[in-house]
This record gives sequence, C-alpha cells and structure tokens, in this order.
Amino acid sequence: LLTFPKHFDENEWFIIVVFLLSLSLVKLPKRFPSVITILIIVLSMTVPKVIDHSIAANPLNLYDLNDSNKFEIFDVFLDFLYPPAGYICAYIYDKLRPKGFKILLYILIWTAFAIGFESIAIKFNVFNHHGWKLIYSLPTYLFAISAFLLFFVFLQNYFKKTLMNSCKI
Amino acid sequence: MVISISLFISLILFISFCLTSRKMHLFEIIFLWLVISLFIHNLSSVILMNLEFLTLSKEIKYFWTHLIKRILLFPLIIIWLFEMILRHNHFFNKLCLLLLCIFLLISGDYIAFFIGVYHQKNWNIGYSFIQWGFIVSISYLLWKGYRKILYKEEPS
Repeated sequence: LLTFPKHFDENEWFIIVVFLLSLSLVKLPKRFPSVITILIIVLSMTVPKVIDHSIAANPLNLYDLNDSNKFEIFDVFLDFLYPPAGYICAYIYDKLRPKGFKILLYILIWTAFAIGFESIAIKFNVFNHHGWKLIYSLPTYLFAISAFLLFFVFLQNYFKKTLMNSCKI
Repeated sequence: MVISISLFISLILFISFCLTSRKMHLFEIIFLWLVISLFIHNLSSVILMNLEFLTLSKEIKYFWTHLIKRILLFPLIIIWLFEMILRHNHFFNKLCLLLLCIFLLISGDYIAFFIGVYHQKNWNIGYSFIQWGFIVSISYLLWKGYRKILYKEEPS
C-alpha cells in the first residue's frame, strides 16, 4: 500500500534525526489538559497533511515529498514531525503569554523557524519543489501559525467555559 | 457549476448541522473532523497515487469538488451520523446508523464517479465498502476513546 524509498539517503535520515530530536523536546512538564493536547497534536498532523496532499498531488503537483510522487512510508513519518513543533509553539506561547505587538513578534519568530526548517528540508530533498517556491511559504506560515495560535487560545477559553470543573488538568 | 453545486450542498449541510441541537461537545466535533480528514487523505492518496485504482480528473473544477468532498462533505456526514448514534442506546440502532453512514459515503463516491470527478480503473463497490468501513470504524473507536478522556472526570 505504501511505497518504500527508492534510495535510503539524506531525506530519510533527515526525517529520522528530526523525529528523534523532537521526541526529546516533548519531555516537557504537562501544561494543558489532555483533551487540548490531543487536539493540538491531531491538528498539527492533519493540516499539513491536507495541504500537502492537496497541492503536492495531481493536478496541481507543486512539489514532491521525498523520493517520488507516490505516497511513501516516510511521508507518513513526516506527519509525526509537525506535532512536537505545534505543541512547543503552544507551550511557549502559554508560558510567555505575550501581549500586543509581542504576539506578532512571537508569530514572526515561529514563521522564521518554519522557513528555516523548510529550507533545510529542501536541502535534504524532503521537499522537491517544482512550481512552489520558498517565498510562497512565508505568507502561508504566517497565516498558518496565526490561525494555529488563535485556535489554541479559543480551545483554552472554551475549555475554561465548558469543562473546567469536569476535567483534570 | 460542479464546484458551486458541491459547495452549496456541503454548506447547506454544514449550516443545518450548526443549527441543530447537539449532544456532542465542540471538542469532539473538532477531534472527529481532524481525525476523519487525516484518514480520508491518507487512504485516498494510497488509492489514487499508489494503487491507482482511481484517477482524479485533471480538470481544476473537479479537483476543487474532490477537495470539498474530502474536507467538508464526508467528514460532516460521518460526524452527523455519530451525533445521531449518541441519541440511540440500542446496539442494533447504532449498527444500522453506522451502516447507513457507510452507505451514504459509498453513494457520495459513486455520485463523484458519475459527475466525472474520478475515473474508475480497477475499482469496485467492495473496495468502497472496505475503505469507508475502515474510516468509519477507526474514527468511531478513536472518538469513543477521546470522549472517555473528555468526560473522565465529569461529576455524576
């Protein structure tokens, strides 16, 4: 069902190394209720998946993931790279609680991080662009990270409103 | 035309869903929406790209219809049926609703074939049943797990 990589080379190693690194990063003390943590993880997996499978597949075919335009086993592993980043983004946001323009600064820092991560991933042939350009990712990440943080704040507020007395944090 | 009709139907269903009283918590709906979308995208990519049992039409209007169906319409059908399941206690009724859900999804697929969104190569109704049966049952089990966590500490 899932194809294996044509060559086990830099892109596969990149995914393995980043995955192992990100695993060590999530050993953070619990900060959110499990119901919110689960939503952050699932959202961080689903949104990139929906975008990748919509614009990287035919008929748009703006880029390929890994070695081919087939759905590879390492494309599935790639899904697991996003949730730790999403969780840390929400975690630090919740810890710092930035206000006013500091929120914009926070979003810009994460956008720069995402762009940096993508450019390294391109160097390692995880993403092979043929239509998409790195510059297009700039507004995409700016929008995605803002929407993600907005969603996170909404979840927290809704949790406080509806479940605070019934769920353990 | 195809995009407008599919978007119109999906939005009508979405607005109706928002307007009806629900037993599900909003977090459950979001969780289900995300999980269902994840499974639909993974499975349809395997079917379209790897197995090549179906081919997606190259016309951009069909691509948008395919996207609306995957992101909005099919998750909504599943969530709505799960919401109806919450209102029934009897196992037989729940099973009937799950089967109705699978039937509606398979019908949706065949309407998409009829319109020309996909072209069948080695596809048959049995594969459709396996695909949707898998997505519906795995989403149902995950939802039950999430629901357990959500109401774990609820005072009786």
